[in-house]
Amino acid sequence: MTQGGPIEPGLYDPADFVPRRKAAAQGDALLPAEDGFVAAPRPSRWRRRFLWLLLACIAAYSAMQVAGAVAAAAAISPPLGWLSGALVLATIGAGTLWARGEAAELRRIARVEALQEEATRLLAAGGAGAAEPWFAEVARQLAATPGAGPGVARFQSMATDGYAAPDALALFEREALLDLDRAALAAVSRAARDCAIGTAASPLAALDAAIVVLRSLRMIREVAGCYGFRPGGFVALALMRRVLANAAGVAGADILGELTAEAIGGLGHKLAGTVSARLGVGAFAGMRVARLGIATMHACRPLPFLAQRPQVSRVVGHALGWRERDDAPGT
Amino acid sequence: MSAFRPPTLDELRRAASWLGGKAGEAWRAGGAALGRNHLRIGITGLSGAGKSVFTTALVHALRHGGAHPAAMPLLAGALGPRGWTATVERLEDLPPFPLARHVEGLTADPPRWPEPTRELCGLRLRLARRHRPGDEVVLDIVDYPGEWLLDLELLQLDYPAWSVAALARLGAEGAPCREAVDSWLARARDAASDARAAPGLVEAHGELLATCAAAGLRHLQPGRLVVPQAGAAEFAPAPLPADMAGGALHAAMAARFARYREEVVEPFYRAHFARLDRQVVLFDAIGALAAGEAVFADAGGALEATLASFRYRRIPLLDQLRRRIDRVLVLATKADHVTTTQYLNLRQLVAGRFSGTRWADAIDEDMLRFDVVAAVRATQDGWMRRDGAQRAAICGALKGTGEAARRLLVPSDVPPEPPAREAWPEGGFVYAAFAPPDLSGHAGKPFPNVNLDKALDLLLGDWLR
Repeated sequence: MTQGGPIEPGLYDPADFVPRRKAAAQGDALLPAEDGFVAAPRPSRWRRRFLWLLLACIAAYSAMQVAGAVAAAAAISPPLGWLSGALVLATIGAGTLWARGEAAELRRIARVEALQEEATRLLAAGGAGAAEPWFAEVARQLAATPGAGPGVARFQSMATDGYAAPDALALFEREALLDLDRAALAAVSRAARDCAIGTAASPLAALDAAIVVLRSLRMIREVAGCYGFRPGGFVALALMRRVLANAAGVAGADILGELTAEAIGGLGHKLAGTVSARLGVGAFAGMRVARLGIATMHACRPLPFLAQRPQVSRVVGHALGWRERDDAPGT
Repeated sequence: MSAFRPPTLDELRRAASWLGGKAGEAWRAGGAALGRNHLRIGITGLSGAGKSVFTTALVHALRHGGAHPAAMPLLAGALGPRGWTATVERLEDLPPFPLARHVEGLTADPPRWPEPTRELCGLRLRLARRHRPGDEVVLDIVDYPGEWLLDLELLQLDYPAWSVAALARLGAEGAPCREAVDSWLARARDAASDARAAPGLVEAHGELLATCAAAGLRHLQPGRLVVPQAGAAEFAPAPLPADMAGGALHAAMAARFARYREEVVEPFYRAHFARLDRQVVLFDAIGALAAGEAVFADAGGALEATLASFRYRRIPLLDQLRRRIDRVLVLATKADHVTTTQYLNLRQLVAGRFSGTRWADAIDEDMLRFDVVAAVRATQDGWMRRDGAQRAAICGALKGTGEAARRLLVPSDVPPEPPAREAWPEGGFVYAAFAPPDLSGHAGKPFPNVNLDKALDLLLGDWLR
């Protein structure tokens, strides 16, 4: 037996065998390295340094102010000084913990893009078992999601390592993601309805904007929650940024779909024929929110839509009660 | 000034072929198979491809999968998430496929692989889908030896041309039984002017083909001498070299050849083959690789000859015969004999044979599909780890031993295309045959498998949806 030499084809003692399933479940180091993930281009170094220095200046200034205030309190009476000092420390501690949670969440959101790229690569040419690391990571991400457990467990009980990656991913979408999509689409549908009715009823243009922005932020947090992200304020903002960054592509696809819908007398006909101009404005607001919601789903979903993309017009139609059949919105 | 000019011959030809293509598409879109609730599929493959196991596992999975949709998830997509029920019936016009006996053997202790089917047999499945009550579909499954399909080639050739091709294959360089071929030829030459020697020579040729089959060769004709069909042997011809033309024996053989085509080959295709809607062709690429270069080349040729009968719009008579078949699924069987990391290569190795222009239209029109499958999964996939080195490996009981004697196999990497002569590995490709796993708990649910549900979805998915 050669020490550490390459293993040649042949029959061996089964004692040296490590089953794939067990190894994958243990997150074994034998799994293929996650190479091939493309990092986003980094912003300018000086911009980064400037921002950090600015932050440091503000922090130093506030620290001095706070220290001055604590010292002033201590000068009045020592117990008051201790008390205010403890209060400041507790505030800083809570803030740090919160920031850490948000940062972790932001990192997880940032991973979604890498997961999507990896999924696209696997869909193009993935052999059997090639998607195992992807599934392991997505299952970890979804572990915190209330509705995902049964679907993921169902998928894990069904999938064997013999499936080619595209088949396994399609199965994962069907078993594990469709429930989440349904919940996310319901959230989008609610937000679209609220915005449509809110803007139709609001007397001021500025109020329109406020309604849409606040309701959209809530919707983004809800949709993110559906896909396993803890919905925090910063997370919603970061998502909003990503959503806006790739909204152009999504919008292009949707415009095509809506032109078709109008051509065959779907939504456009309904709008023109049955709804007053004011409500039409509301419906368009709802449609914009729905588009944002679907873009958020694109940003949060670890897998591109395989079986069917949700359509803005169908979500809005459902939200406003225009659809006859009461099935899942948008699908 | 651009004057009108009559179209050139080439342009006309292109227009005609375009029109033909559109007509073919419309024919298929109109649905030879779709929109009907009755489908007849053929399952074939040359000896050793795993026909019996595949048919048994397929029927078993359709029969019991409805109660365990999670065991066949990709098929559950086509048959409905709420499951289905299936009943097995006899086919009126064919002997029954021995399903019960095969399932019993597989689930016995110790488990046994089903004995090979060497005759035409079949059964009927009635599928009732829970999400579409009252809309029952009927699936006829017909299992027949691939050797008989090989005889279809005879319809395209005359006797001298066939003789040359058949003898060239038997005597090819590296072919495993050239000596036996030479001694048979010597015997034929001795009787060149004796027409009455023909039956004896054909019998001897049958024995010769059996020897070749035992050595691993598969592209053997006439196929009914390899896998007998009742009543076929009395017409079967044997090939003779071209320099014997003019002799009485040659004339007698040519007459037998003509009768064989008319009374055995054609009636079979009219009665059975022409009634199939879809066809599964099984191919044991791993076994052929393991058997060495000559056998691998021969097996590839045999597969291509098998599929020649499905080639689209090429041969008028055959086109008429096989008009109904709108899909052929070629499956590389025994995928569990290599690691899962090799499946892509295995699929490519088989599909690569059909990448040429001759097959392009069939593949474009989705008529020809490929995948890998293990109808019953006999091994476990994983790694071998030793002294810090690791390599993908499988683990299972070798054929002929019990479950207690599990061995670890590091199989050779499957080449994505047939290796060139000098690239053929020294010592050959290392694979092994495995015994079936313990299936005692699977009498009422689908057997563990690789891609069986995917294969069924490729074959029937559009029809079932």
